[in-house]
Amino acid sequence: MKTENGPDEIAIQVSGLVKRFGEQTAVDHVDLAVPTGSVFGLLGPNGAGKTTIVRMLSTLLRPDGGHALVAGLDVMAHPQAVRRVIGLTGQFAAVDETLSGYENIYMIGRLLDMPAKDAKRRAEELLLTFGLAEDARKPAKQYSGGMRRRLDLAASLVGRPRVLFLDEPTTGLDPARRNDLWDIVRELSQSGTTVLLTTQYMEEAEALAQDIAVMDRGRFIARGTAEELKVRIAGRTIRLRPMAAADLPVLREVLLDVLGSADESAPGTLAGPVSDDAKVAALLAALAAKDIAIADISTVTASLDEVFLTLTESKNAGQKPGAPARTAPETASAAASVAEPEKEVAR
Amino acid sequence: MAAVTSSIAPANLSSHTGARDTLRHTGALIRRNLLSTKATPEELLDVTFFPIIMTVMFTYVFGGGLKSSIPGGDYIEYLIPGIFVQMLSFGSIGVGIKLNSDFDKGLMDRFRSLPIARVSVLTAHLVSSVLRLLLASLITFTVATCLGFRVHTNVMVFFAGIGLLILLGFGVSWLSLYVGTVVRSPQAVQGVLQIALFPLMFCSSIFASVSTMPGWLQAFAKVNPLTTSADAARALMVGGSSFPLANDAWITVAWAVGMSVVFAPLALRAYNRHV
Repeated sequence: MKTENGPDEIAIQVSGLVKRFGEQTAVDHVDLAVPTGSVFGLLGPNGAGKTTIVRMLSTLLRPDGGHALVAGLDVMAHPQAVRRVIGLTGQFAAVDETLSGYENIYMIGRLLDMPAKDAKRRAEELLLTFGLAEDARKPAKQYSGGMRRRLDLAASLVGRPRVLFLDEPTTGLDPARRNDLWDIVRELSQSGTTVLLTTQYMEEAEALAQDIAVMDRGRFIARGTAEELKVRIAGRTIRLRPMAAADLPVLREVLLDVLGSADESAPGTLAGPVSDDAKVAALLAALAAKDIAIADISTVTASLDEVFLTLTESKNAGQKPGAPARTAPETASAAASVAEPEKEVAR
Repeated sequence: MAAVTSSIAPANLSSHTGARDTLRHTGALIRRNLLSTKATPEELLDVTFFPIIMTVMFTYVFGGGLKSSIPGGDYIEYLIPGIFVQMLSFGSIGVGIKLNSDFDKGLMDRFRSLPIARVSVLTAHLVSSVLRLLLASLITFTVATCLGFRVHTNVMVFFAGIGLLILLGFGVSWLSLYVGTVVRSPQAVQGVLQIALFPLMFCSSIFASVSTMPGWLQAFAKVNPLTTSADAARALMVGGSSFPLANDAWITVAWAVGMSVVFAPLALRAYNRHV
């Protein structure tokens, strides 16, 4: 938890949050602190409890336990005050399809107590920003999926919210539309809006969020930056190929000695886990001391997909959008060998 | 840790929305409903085309056979006040469908995440429903006039009749809003309410005289609110010795008020609990 930040810089502060639906605990004592202006990613499979957290923080659901402050306001004690500072974009584009894009946004402005003139100006401004100005007068049901999403996002920004909740904002969008939406989220974050987004796509969390929580069955099972999660959970692997195959036994000894493990990842190549950069330095020093000539050396970091798989392995293996289907741990490690080679050093 | 406070909290912690704000919010939502109806006029079919079909069909297909058994002997004079009853009760199904769609499509989540009184969405639908019924009354009256229907009482009494039936529609609207909140899909709202209303419509005096029905059915038809309201509407729109004004008007008022008293709290409770 990042409680070292001053309270003024914390836009979302959650402690011990609980929500039960009958016998089932959807959210189980979750703690969370999101600094102002940052993007926080809630990552998890369907049914992990992500949406339930968003619904509690956006005052749609009453928590069964714990505390939640949004922009310093208690969601349970002052829900109406919370509503004045938040924006919410749910999983389904919540727009009135029979109304035009303009009418949708204008209505939200009026509901936010803007005078008619301001609501009109704000609607035009947002429709322009979101590339909907041309189709502003068309009924929303004629919009494409991507346009509807943008309209929905625009609707949640009418009141210039300080905290924005995005519940699976890109589900069902094609890659180009998805990238557009990512750009919008980045811009919002840069202009000081705090964003909490849920996603099933590791790639999305990695692309947008400074801080990620991986959720499974109502709990946070890992926290950190994308990089931290990759290194800490799935680890980094160094692979070495000696010039002479005769050096392999000595190399194996060095790896076992320095890294504690040595696997033959490919014929003539040995691999071992590196937990930090000091290990790499120690390994190179040991190689120099033993005078082993290395033909090829590379380190690979696991993809966030693998982190996610590692963490939620016990869960059903079927539903992992955004990742090629991999069902067993051994195929997962095989896939690791094709994932982003980070540094390539050749001697 | 829970006691973390923030200096960025705005001064306005009030969870109460003022009456004037709520009125303005409701106005914005009524505007939304009207724009929606304007954009999708096919939603008015149930209160325009359907009553016209029923009028034409009953007048020209069954009317010849039925006219000997009805008071006054002029079938269109007998039928049209009943068509108003049919239209204003069935026309209230729409409001429940609209409310249910708002839940179904996630729009209610958007409204609930805004700093407005939650009830304003429901109130706006109710007001829009009444406006819809008024518009439908005008259309039905125009068509009825073209088919030869004439008001034989005076204009004030005629409007009292329309007012009475809209009051009934108001009561049915509360039932519709209640059903719209508790069932799962817009289609189910329509299904449930049509199943409830169809027997009431046919086992009433709307299309045929109750006296021609078998005794067991008469017992039901006589207490059926659509019979009393159709009889009251005839007395107020056509009148004369054929259709005297008995207690039917007051019984209809009692039904309308009774339905509102029963279903308004049920609807509001279900609505406020709906997540």
